[in-house]
Amino acid sequence: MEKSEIESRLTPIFRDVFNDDALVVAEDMTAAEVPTWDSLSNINMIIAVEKAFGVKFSIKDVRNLKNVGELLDLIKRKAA
Amino acid sequence: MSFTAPLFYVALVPAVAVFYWFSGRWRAIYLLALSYAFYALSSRIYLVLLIVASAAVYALGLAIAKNGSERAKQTYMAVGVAAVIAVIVVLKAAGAWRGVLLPLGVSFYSFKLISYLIEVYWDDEAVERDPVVFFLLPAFFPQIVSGPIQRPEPFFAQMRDVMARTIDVEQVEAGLRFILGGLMMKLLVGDRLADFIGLIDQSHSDYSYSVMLTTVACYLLQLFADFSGYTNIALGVGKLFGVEGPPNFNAPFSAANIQEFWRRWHMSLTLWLTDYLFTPLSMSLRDYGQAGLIGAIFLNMIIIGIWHAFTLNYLVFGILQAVFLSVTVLILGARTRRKRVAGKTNPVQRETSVWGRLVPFLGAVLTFALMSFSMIFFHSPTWEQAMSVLAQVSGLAPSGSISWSSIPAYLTVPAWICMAIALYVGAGRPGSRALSQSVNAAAPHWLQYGVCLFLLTVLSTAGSGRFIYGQF
Repeated sequence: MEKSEIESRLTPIFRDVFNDDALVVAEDMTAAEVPTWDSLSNINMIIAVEKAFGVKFSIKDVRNLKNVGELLDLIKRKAA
Repeated sequence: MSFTAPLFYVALVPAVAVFYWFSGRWRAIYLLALSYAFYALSSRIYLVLLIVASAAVYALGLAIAKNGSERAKQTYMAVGVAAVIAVIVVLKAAGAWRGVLLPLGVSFYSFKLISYLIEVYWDDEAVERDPVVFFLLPAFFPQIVSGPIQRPEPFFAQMRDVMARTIDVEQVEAGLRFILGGLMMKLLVGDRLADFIGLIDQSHSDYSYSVMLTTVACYLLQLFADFSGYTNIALGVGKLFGVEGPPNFNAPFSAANIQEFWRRWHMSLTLWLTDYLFTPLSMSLRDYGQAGLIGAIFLNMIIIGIWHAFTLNYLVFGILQAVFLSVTVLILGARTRRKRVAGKTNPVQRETSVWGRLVPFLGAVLTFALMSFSMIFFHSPTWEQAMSVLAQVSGLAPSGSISWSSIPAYLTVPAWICMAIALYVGAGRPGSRALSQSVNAAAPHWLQYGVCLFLLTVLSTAGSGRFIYGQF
């Protein structure tokens, strides 16, 4: 799967989980930039991504993510 | 030695001067010696525990980073974390049931050691090889009494930085400002509220219903004044030694619901628990949907409760928080889903209608009331007292006849003023920016500090100056 494809599939998931229809996923995006991105919605996002891409993350995988770009890489690696 | 003892400040000034007189590694070695000396003033036996725990975690960190196999890494991490938790549990149990005095700051430095082990397990590069810099993490005396709980990585980076640079005058000035503000909050506001609460505590059922209800509201305000005062002193002393610690409070009384309250209250603890307990736990329970989430919230909040001490009161405090938080999370979740269905989806958009602005205000009032209610269990030293206060507040037990007018004004007036100050500061000091701009235009900084110092000397009570969180 191409990164751009993952990115475009990620946007509707993010809009739903973070409750913001204006949100557009970008590689350099971080949790600090999204007001509704807290510890709870973070878990919800992980669950939604796992379901959408049919992957399973470990705590360690998720913990080390610094921005959305690293999440894209992680999905790409897991979905391969 | 307490952060409120005059002798502490007499010793602090030369201690900071000597710190910057040294350079390079000697600066860190000196700070470590200073931290151990500070600790030894409270207990020499427990200083040994601090050093042994630090050495064990240092060695485990190196072992985790060096080992290639995931299994071995996990084992070292788990053994280390379990050992640290076992020490806290044994000491807290001895404290609750045998009356053993807890080692100074043991819960706080343990949190730092646990987060270090987990961070190194998550990422090899988080390992700290320099023993002096590492041993400073748990021992750093400005944070050892009651936090704030700083994360390993930012602490190590700042420590290395301060070893290599000259004194930052602005940082030192900010540090002194924090200390001054913290002392005022603690000694002028918190201790006065403590005096008032102490008076009512002696025979609360003799006082009228309105006095009792106000006293219950005071519990939360006093804890805020006491602990935010402490935190600002700790942050200020840290700054004198070149370390910026994490904040603990962000206008908690402005929170519109319990979930938001816990994001603004004792933040260095709640963020720690979010990262190392709540997130891993809710990840593991994610296949169980809402039930898994509620389970994670319950475990998290109950641990926050009994972490203070192993007593029924703190357990009930934790359970109450878990119930409040779960209900809040479920209501907010349902509301968001309903809004999404209705097509109203921009959360950033500000409500401009009167009702839209009234809702967060009413939410803040309700949040304050719920927190004050649970504070009955936090504040009362025994289960019997909590029950008796609860009975009076809920109207099940009769109130007494001592009303506001029968309490001397020299006790009530300062209490009212201090309640107003604590509430104002805790709500995020609305309008203070404009006020400080006009004060800055009229009076130079030295004059403002002078006035603060004058107020401190004149208005301090002869109280104990003991910090509530010193006992945890």
